[in-house]
Order: sequence, then C-alpha cells, then structure tokens
Amino acid sequence: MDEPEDDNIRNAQGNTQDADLSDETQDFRFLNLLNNKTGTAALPRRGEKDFEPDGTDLQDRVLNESRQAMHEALLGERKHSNKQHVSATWRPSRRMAEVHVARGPHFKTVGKADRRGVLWLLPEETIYLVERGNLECWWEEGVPMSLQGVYASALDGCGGLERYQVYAYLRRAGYILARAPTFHDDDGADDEGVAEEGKKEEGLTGTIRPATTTPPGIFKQLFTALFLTPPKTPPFGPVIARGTYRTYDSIYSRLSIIPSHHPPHTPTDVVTAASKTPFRIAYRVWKPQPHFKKSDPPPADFLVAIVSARETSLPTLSQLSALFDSVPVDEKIGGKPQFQRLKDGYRNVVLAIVDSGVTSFLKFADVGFGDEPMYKWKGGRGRGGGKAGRSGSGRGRGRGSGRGGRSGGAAEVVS
Amino acid sequence: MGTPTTPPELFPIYLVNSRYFLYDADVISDVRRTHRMSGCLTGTLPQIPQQNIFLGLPLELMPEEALLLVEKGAAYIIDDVSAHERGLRGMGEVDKKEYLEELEQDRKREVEEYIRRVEEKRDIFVRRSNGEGGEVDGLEQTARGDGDNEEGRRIFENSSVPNPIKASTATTATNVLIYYPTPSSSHPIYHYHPDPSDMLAAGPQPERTQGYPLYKHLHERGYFLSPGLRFGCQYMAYPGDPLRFHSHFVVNGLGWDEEIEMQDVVGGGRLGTGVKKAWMVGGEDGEGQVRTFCVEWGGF
Repeated sequence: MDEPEDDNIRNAQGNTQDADLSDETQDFRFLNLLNNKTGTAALPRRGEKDFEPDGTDLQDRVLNESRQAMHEALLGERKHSNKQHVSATWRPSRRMAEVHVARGPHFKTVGKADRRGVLWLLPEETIYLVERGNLECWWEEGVPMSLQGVYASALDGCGGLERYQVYAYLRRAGYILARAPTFHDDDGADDEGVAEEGKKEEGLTGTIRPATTTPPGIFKQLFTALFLTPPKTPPFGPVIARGTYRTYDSIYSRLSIIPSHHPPHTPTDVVTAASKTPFRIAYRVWKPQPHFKKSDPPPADFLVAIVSARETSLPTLSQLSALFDSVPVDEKIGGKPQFQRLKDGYRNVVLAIVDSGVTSFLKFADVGFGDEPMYKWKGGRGRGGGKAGRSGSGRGRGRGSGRGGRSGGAAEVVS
Repeated sequence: MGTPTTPPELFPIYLVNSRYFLYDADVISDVRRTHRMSGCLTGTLPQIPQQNIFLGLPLELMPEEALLLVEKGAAYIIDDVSAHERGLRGMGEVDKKEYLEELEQDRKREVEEYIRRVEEKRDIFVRRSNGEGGEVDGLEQTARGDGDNEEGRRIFENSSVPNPIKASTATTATNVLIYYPTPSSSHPIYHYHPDPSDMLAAGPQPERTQGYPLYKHLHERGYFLSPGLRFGCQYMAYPGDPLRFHSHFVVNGLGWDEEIEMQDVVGGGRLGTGVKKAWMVGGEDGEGQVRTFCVEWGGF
C-alpha cells in the first residue's frame, strides 16, 4: 500500500493551483508530509480514496490508520514557549480581550490600542490567536480559559460563527483582515442614515436598477453623444434609416435600442445605510504584504460579505444594489484588459457562503456589459485575462440556498 | 473493524450561537466510529496553523447530526455560554487556588523534564568530546528540532572546558523553555456540568430541518453525510468514512409536495453525472416513509 502512495505524492505547490484540496476530507495520514521542515511540503494527489467499502482487512486497516492519524492530530497541544508568551484577559463587558504584553509578529496585523495605551483584541482575533496556540487568555475571575471557553465567550462578539470561520480561513491562507466600518448593522451612522433615507426617497433606491439608461460620470457625455442619444429615430420606419453610413459603428450603435445597465465609472459616494446584514461588507481583506500598517492600511484588495447558507438565499437585486453602493468604485479598472473588466466589474464584492463549516467564495461584480460594445472591440488586447478564468473566487457556482429555491446563481450581475 | 470501539456513553454537544460543537478528540473519534458522523473540523490545527487543508478543533456538527445524536439518546445539548457563566460564578476561591497550583505543578514538571533531557544530551556530547567518536545514532535521536540542537551545541562547547557541569546547569535552568498550553475542553472548575440524564429529557433540542428525514434515512443505511453546498447540493453522501471513500450521491432533501422545476432536474442530473455521482432527491411522504429518486444523465 505504501508504494503506490509514494508514487502519487507530488509537490504541494503544484496543488495550490487547483486549490481543491480543502474541498474534500483529506487523509490525515499525510499530515506529517505537510509538517516536515524541509520546506517542500508534499501532499497526495486527489483520487487516493476508494470507491466503496469492499470488506477487506486492508481497507479497514488503512481507514483505521487514517482515523488514528486524525485523532493524534487533534490531540496536538496548543501551546507557545515563554519566549513568545502573550497573555490577555477577556473582558466580557467590552467583548474584547485586554492584552498584557504584546509580543510577536501577529500584532502587526491584529489588536488596537486605546488612548491609555492598552492593546485590545477583537473577539475573532482572540479566538484565532488562542486557537493557533499563540495566546493565553484568562477569565476575569483569574483562571486561564480553554479553547471551549474562548468560543463560548467570544463567538457572539464575532457576529456569529460564519464570520469567525471566514475570518480564520482567510487568516490561515495568509490574508490580512480588518473589520469593515459596516461590520455592524448600525455602524454608528444613525444620524446620517436618516438624512440618506430622505435622499433616497427622491432618487431611486441604489445605483442598480433593472435598467439604468444613462451612464453617470465623466464618460457620460461621451457615451451619450456617441451611442445613447436616440439618433432621432423616426417614429416609424426602419431603425436604420436610409442614409449614408461610413462606419459599422454608426449602424451598430443605432441598433442598440434596448436600455442596459451602466455601473458608475467614477468614484461615487459610498452609501452604507441601505445594505443590511448579512448582505453587508464584514471584512476588508488584503493580500499578504510585508509592510502592512494596521493604523494606515492601503485600499483593500477584497471586500467580503459573509452569509450562512442555511439561513440565506441569493440576494435580491435591491440587496445587491445596496451592497454595491457600500463599496467604492475600482479606480484601476481603466487600465485592465476588457476581459478582466468584464470579470471584475466596476465594483465587486466577495460573498463567502458558509454551509455548516464549509465555505464557498463567490464574486459578485457590477459589470458594464453595455459599456463594452463588442463592435468596438479590435481583438487581441482584450484576451489577456484568459488565464485568470479560474481565479480563486470563481469556484463553486452553487445554488443560493441549496434548499430547492429558485435556481439562477449567476455569479455576475449583468442585467 | 480492527479496533475495539468504546461503548457509547452519553456525551454533551455544546451549543454556542445556535451552532453545535464538540471539543473532545475522544468523543469526536467515537462519534465517527460508532455513530458514523464526521461533522466538520473548523478550527486551526496548532501544529500547522497556516493552511486550510487539515483543520483542527473544534468540530462543528450540522443541526441534523446534533438532532439525530440527541434522538438516539447518545448525546445531549448544553448551552455552553450559560454553562461557563454558571461555572465561573460558582467557582470557589479554594478550588481556584488548587487549580492554579496544579497548573503550576504541571509546568514545573515540564521544566524538570526539559532540564533532564538537556542534561542527558549533554552527557552524550561530553562522551563524544572525550573521544568516543561513534555515538552518531544517539546524537540524532536526542537532538530533535532546531532549538534543541542549538542548546546542545552551546552545552557542547561549554562542556569541553574542564569541569563546567555546575555552571552550565545553572544557565540551562534560566534559559529553560516554559510552555503555556491552552486545553481544548473546559475544566469543571469553571464549567458547570449538569447531570446528563436530566439534560437528555429537558435539554434544548436542535431544530428539525426540511432535509432531516432524508438525512436520517441515508444515515441509517450506512451513509456518511456532509454539508454539500460547495458541490451544489444539500448533503454529500459517502458510502463510508469520507476519510477513505469518494461520495456517491449529491443529495437534496425536499418536501413531499414540493414542486421541482424541470430545469433543476436537468441541471442536477448534469451536475451529478459530471462529477461521476448520482443526483438524488428525496423526502418524507405523509406516512413518515422516506423515498428517494436519483437522476442521471442518460447517454444515448
């Protein structure tokens, strides 16, 4: 049994490309391969498993070994040495942990000091550090907490298990996370909220409507002049009236008589009041970077909203619109190739959907297909994004709730 | 199965924030073995924290799993937030002192153990430096991990000086590594534990989901079920432990009179066939009978 498995071992770095390993329960016997210190962690390829129980002793033995390996892995101690010792006290009244002495690289990205210079850890940061074995957390009553105790105390402050699970998942994957201002539903902007409410009454709700006919922003005039001014279509007769046309463009543009959605192209006011939990940005996420400053972070690479699969269906158009309105317009989009523009949209949100501990990430993007007329496309340049066709978030085109709700889980809003 | 299974004892499932958790590795292994449930490990594995392939404690149970365990009389639900609050309120000063002393003792024992190991290693180095060249095996056995190695080297240099034993013992005692462990499960001193038999009757009950009848039906036929949204369904059904076997069915539990759209049937059939599984729907009819149907893409 050992030999064919050795044949199948390959470098884990190759595996990260298809990133599917965490999809399935992995064989804990291979944990040690990942754990070795040579730096070339190797994992078995998928397809190691059997089709069905065949009643052989061999299969039973292998299964028992896997279970034993899993059991031993779970008994692994969560601990740190006195050289890295960090302790904290959980303060239930503030729902945060008060750090006694901060030490170690984690504090580059977690914790926030108050005016008195006391460093506080958010509940999710507390659980995460304890879970890794980097923090000893104490009850106010003067005994150290167990992992179970930390979960029982801090989970509620994380905004639910799903949010913590996504936080920890991304942290383990190396990303840097910070709570978005919209982490809570009320975000302290109650007064503003009222004002915004008034504004909305006049205008329409949100920037995404079944069909926005006018593109806002500086492109507006250009677009309007070029395509969208109804070219004085006569009330009767053909759409392309008799006349001289020197370019195909002028003909095609007259053919586009169906109103289409145009996402905002320039920075607009970020309106957060209309988005409601769970369709509300919970975390700002950055790719790993060496000189990250938690006090002065750069613009986030991803904005993540987190929903529970069991309690939520796909967002409605107005929920999505509110979500997009709480997100800034991507200012770098002009420099992207067309294909990438159509994938990423002018604004996008990563939706993490957690089903009993298993997370799928979907990306919702506010895409301006109406702004990218194919007859203007000269080919070549735009196909650059082809390789990214399966980027991390594209996976898992699951149905919204998996509960027999309506299908139609398209990952991009096209309208 | 080769290993003897422990007789099923009544064990607690901890409820926090309407989710169900297990923290005890023994219970988790037992649930896997005797109750054929895998749950979902969701915590960070402290040995290798920077990855998502192998996860650790706690284990999250689906509501279906928790409900079935309660219905079988194998487990009961404890509201873990109030259990801790009540336990902490009831913690006596004497007990607390004893508990902290116990922790201190453990720590001391570990320190002594550490010093003993270091000294053992030093002896080997001393012997080697005295010219007995052949002890390579012993060296490799004792020098585990980088930190230990370094320690070993330092002592090795020291001990080549005549009669350094007293001095080097003193330095190791101050440099000694003390570990601060965090246990997975809560200690009874700050965690109130109600009488299991009371809880079985009066404890909170997990909600009964729409998929539960089908979940139970498949479970009773030996299938392991796990959450399936990532694969576009409600549950994945495995013919045995998912550690060893591929899943066979992509399962959706429906209401008996629930209408299914043709598009969903075709889409489901394609989905299942595409991943070499069968797409299954099923539900409970009026009489409590569960029926299941599989859809596969016919290749004509």
